[in-house]
Amino acid sequence: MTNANMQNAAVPAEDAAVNYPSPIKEFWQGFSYNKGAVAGLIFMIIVVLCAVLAPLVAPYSPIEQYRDHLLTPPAWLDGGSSAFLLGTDELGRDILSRLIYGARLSLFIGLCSVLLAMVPGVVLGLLAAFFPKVLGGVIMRVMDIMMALPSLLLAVAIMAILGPGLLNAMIAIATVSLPAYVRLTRASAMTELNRDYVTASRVSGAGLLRLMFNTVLPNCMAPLIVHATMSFSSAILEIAALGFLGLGVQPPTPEWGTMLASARDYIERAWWVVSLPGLTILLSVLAINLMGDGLRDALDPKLKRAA
Amino acid sequence: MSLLEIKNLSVEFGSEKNPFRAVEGLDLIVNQGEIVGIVGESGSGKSVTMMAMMGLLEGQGRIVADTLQFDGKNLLTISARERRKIVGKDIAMIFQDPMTSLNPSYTVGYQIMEVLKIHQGLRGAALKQRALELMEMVEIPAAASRLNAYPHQLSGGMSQRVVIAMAIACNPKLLIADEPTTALDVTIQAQIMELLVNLQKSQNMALIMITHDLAVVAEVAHKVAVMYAGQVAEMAKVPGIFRTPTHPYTEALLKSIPEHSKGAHRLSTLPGIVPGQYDRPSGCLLSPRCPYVQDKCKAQRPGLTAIDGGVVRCHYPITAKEA
Repeated sequence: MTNANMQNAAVPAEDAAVNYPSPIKEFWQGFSYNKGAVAGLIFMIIVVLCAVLAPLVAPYSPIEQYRDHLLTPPAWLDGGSSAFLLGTDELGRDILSRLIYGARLSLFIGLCSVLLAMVPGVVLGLLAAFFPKVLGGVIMRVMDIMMALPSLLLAVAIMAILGPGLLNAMIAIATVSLPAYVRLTRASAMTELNRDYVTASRVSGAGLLRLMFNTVLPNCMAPLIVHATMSFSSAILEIAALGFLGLGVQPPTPEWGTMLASARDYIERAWWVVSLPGLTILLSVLAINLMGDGLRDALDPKLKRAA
Repeated sequence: MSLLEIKNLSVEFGSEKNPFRAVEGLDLIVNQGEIVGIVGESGSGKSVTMMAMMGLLEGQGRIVADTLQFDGKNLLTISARERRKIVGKDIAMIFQDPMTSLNPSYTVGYQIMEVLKIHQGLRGAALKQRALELMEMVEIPAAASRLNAYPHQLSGGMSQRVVIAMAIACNPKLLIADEPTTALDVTIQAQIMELLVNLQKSQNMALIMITHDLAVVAEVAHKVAVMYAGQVAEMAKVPGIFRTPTHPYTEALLKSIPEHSKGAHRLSTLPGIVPGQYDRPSGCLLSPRCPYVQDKCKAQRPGLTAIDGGVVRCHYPITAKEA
């Protein structure tokens, strides 16, 4: 290989251009290798499209109550009506429409709480890695304390202090998942810090901020992206749990967890009111986790097939 | 005036109470356009010396020196901001393992251009032109298309060429090569060495070559410093030091080159290892391993004595004994 290259160099050849696959193509090759991940991605694309186009896709308004059709079963059951594909709930609201509008909120909450946890988590993690003596110790001990508390309990406690509501729920979930980001960032930043290219960039005069965000951070992104995907799904679960406890989104706003909670009295009479939101949560979380697996395969250099 | 002047440099690690001296009383003078080789076993303080000089040990090691001067500027008192202007522009460094000395997240073109953008203020077409020129200077074939390659898409030799291109991007006055060929196979080693020496000549840089490989130094260097346990054991001109080594350690190093043992059943070695933090002898640091050891060596540490064209740290230099 190198011999051939040297000969090429001796004869200045223009035609020896090398075409490297673009990073996106390489990523897709790694990702599409995992069939489950592709299935998860397709499912999530559908969910996201539904959420974005909710007013167009949903047959009814999510808060419109059809008093003549209380607890109508789904269309394929006895007594079902083709007007309400997935049936109606105890107040006569169309479940399909509520699920579609609920996707908006659940995904939005998931995204926001991931971002709210990731941004400060990454900054704190980098600081802990760059100043390991005092600052790093302090940050990591505080994170240890946060990790020592059961996450849902901590979230409930934060909600109790801040009061129920959408924004407060996101803050609570973000706070709970913060330590994982800090630890992950710190661990991968510390491995990267010992690499020669970091020294090289210091030798060429890079300052602290450049080192932190330009040199080291992009190389820690792979595990962070994977973890963000995974914690996206756990954020959806946690918001559902908070909603179920009545601490999250307040009715009548459609949200998967709140739907579950308000329908639990009817679990014996009308199973679909409880099962369908539960099933939606399950499928979305599963799809996101499968996607996370695929992302890990595609992004983690340790699992990458030799280039 | 000399380009780099180091006098009595010491680097300590660990606590104040129980320090470990990685480098002790090191003197080194490098003139413009000169190639200086620094050789020694692992752990003898070669790399630490260079790191200390460039201020890369901040917060880890304590650096003490009488003089630490580069191009007329005192590196000891200079502010971090000032130092960053010199380091990277006038002093550049090449590392041992090309596979880890490039940032895996960016294309090699981006990495070369970043240096040029910051230190030389180049923009747009001129920037790209200069990056291409550098890639061609280090003999990378199909340079234009390789600007868009990521480090993992290049072979080791190719990566090392990119690293060299980045190092010479700002026409440094001093290039430090820290075992630039250790991680490469023999044929590539020769090519990279030739490239480095050619560049050194054409750019008239000073080149400090840190290496284990005496053969490399023998061919190209003007001056060689042999380090042992953080001290300079011997510093002399080439080829004198290779013809008539005066320090027993230099002699032992030369003897242990495989080519010198042709026909012999066993490779000549120097028994023992470099003394660590806790087992430093009170006398000459080499005394437990030296084949010519005498009572005075065990009791008293030798200082540097001037010899023909250099210095040696030994009570009984070899040539003196023969004379």
